[in-house]
Amino acid sequence: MKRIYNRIAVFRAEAGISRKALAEKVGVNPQTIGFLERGDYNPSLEMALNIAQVFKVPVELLFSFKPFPSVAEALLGQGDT
Amino acid sequence: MPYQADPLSEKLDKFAEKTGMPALSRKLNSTMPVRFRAIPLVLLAAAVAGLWVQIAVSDLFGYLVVMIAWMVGSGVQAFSAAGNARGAKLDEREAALVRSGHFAGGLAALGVAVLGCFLLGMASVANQVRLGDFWVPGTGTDWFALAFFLLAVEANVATMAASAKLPPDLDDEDDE
Repeated sequence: MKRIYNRIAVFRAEAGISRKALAEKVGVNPQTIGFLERGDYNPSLEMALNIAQVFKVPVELLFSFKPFPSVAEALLGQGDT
Repeated sequence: MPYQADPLSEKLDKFAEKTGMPALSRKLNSTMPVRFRAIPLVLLAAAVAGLWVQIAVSDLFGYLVVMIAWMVGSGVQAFSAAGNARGAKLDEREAALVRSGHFAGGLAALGVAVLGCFLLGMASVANQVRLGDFWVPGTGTDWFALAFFLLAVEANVATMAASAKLPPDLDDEDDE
């Protein structure tokens, strides 16, 4: 199965919410959020959309088939333009 | 953590902690399923041994051993990723683990049943044409032993399969 990369941990840190709080909002076990963040589990479309809805962002900002650039890389890239 | 207010209660609490039972209780009551590897294997071995006893030694004792292997296996399964001892609503990942565990267990039991039917069929034919005196189920307890054996295979293989698919524990769960 193709790996799906995500940046849930980044969004979660920015929003200042715990795994447990996010899990409650999405309606899953906190362990599932941990496994998602670590890349041990690929979510269903429904779960991916639910998580995106919590952060109020489009789902493609959270999940991708390609690895996301690190925060440093993203900031450096922004500085170049 | 032991209770710290009354010296007697504190000592009793420390003693209880040393037995390991409170830690086990906390583990079983946590939201994390327990990863079982050796216990289902031991129970499967006990079920095989029980079936052998049923065939070669005792008509009643072997059946009981197989039944106990299934009962304990079912109890263990409840606390594994293939069960739901808490009775909580499972999310999609947990439900998928339960389904895939029981699929593996069911497939293993089906394989054993098909192979067993062929072997018992051949044994029956061999007995009829006087090629030997092979065991075939004859009594009620023989059939019960076979049924409990298949149940034990399903329960324990499901536990092992779900445990194997459970990702390693998360070590950074301090925010939970």
